[in-house]
Amino acid sequence: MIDKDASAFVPFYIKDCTLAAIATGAKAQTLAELRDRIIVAHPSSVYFHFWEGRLRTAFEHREYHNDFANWIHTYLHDDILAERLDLINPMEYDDIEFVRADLIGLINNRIEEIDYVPWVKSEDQFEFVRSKIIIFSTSYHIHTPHELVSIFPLLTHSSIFYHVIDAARRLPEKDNDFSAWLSGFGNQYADLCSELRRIDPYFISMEALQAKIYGIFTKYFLGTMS
Amino acid sequence: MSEIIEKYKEVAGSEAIDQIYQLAEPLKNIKITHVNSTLMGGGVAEILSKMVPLTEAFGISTQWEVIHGPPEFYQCTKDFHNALQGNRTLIPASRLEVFEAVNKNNAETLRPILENSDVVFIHDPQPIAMISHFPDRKGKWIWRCHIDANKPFWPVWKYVSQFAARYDASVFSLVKFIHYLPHPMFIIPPSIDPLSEKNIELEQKEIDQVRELFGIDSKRPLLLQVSRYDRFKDPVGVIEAYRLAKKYNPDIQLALAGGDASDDPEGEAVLNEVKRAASNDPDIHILLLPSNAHRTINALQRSADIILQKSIKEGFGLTVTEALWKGKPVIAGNTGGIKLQIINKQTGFIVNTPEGAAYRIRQLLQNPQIGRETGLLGREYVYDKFLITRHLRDYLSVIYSLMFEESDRIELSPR
Repeated sequence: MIDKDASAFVPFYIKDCTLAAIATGAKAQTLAELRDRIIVAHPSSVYFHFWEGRLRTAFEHREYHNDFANWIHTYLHDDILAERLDLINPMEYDDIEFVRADLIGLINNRIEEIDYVPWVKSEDQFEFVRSKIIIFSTSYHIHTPHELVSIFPLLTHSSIFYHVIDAARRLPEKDNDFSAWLSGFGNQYADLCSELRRIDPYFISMEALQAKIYGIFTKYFLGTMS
Repeated sequence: MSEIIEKYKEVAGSEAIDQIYQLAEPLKNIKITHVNSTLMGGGVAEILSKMVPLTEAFGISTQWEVIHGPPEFYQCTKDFHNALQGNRTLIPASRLEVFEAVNKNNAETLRPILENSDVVFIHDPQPIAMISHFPDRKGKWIWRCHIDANKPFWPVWKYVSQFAARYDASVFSLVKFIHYLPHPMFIIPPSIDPLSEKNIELEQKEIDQVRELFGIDSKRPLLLQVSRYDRFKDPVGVIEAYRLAKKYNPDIQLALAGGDASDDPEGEAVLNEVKRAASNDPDIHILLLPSNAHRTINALQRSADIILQKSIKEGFGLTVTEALWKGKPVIAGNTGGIKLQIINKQTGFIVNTPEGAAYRIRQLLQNPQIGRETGLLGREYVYDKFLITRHLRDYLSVIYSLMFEESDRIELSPR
């Protein structure tokens, strides 16, 4: 975590991460079961099913942005509900519990709209998984903000996941580590921080997120787009 | 950095190695023991033969022990294997008595080692009951299930799970293989070793020699399936797919390369079924390779134009990983861990029937560019997800979290 007050005097250490997946044993075969399991799921399980897909390979193009919407689309064939759930952007919520509440509300609403509870074959059940995040140091660190331009293309997607997506649940105001560090230099980089904070990582791939942030850094520090 | 680690760094990347170092550092004083039932043959033995020295190279004391039993014991564990993969297999009580007695005997033989281990990995059901004989164990015992237990024959799962439940944690290859156990159930796919004889780069001359050795025409396309002669691998379905495709591509050849694992008593019966299905077609090459023919298998895979793994049940399917690593077009069954490796039409092709396999064979033979593209992505995918370095990192993460850190966030110190 970046200490805002001291950040101007400390280097920015690049970290990397992996999510260790742990099965919960909870499964859902119907929409009602999905709702009931979400009600009692561990918070890290709700988080996992919204974000873990970002750490899979870049060429696996999924129809929707979270596992719940994808399962409902692929196996329940209910695209109306899948589209509604896809719009739940966890970055817009202060707490994963509010995400959970909206998920349950939308599924409940859909169960009331339709006359039957759709179900899937047992082999296609939704399997609830939770995770531990394991954070690694890397050999990269920078001392000045200008170095962000040269280091950023070297970062792995999981590193960007840690500094942007995971940072949102670690830092106040769902900040990212780059903005938090730059804020330690006073108002000098206020515009850059604001621009970074406006990025919404939920609806874009990790590749696109990396390109977008890199574009912001190159434009700011070099006056050109990448 | 040791020579072995330098080699892995070259092929798996420095980040992967550095992450293992960070996990290994706080584990340097522990002792790990892996236990399984065969020294050679099958994916588990292959992984362990590399995993153990690699773990040692990172400074963690690690050993590998193999349990022993009479033929009836292996018949019983083969029954377990079939039943956990869904076959309705009723196991006589007398056979279970042999199973438990063998576990008891091996527990006594291995007692000094296992009692002295901080972490014990028990692989698959064969040694699973040994835990009953260590009621006061101090180390963490982890059951590593490599089998596709998605839809097990319930009475057998119930029997096996009474032992599994006693472990401190379990590890499964896919979330779908999991049935609830009262401890943390980690999901860790297996892996291949890019430096093993089966996966290292070979010179074209050696590849050509192997093809010649088995009488395979080097000028005509070769389809290949590498796997034990096991009904779950559907070798007869592969022959059917070959025949359907041959109508349109008369010059194709098929090689079925089967190993023999010492813990698989059904292999011979299935081999005879395959021979009958092939009915002396000179373009079907049925190869029975010794379990240590890794380099030969490597050469066969590299010489193939298309690699099939038309399994109808599969734990993970390391032969698929091997084929992807070699950049080959792969056609594989819609089951188990194959679905984790083959992203349909991206890293290969998923099929459900011999007809589906035949269609993809025809498509790939007519459009080799498609196979080259999926091959490139397949190799990249294996690099990211299925190399032994990632596997070791995940095992060490499990150990670390069981021994030191129960929270959902583990932050490692720089080394």
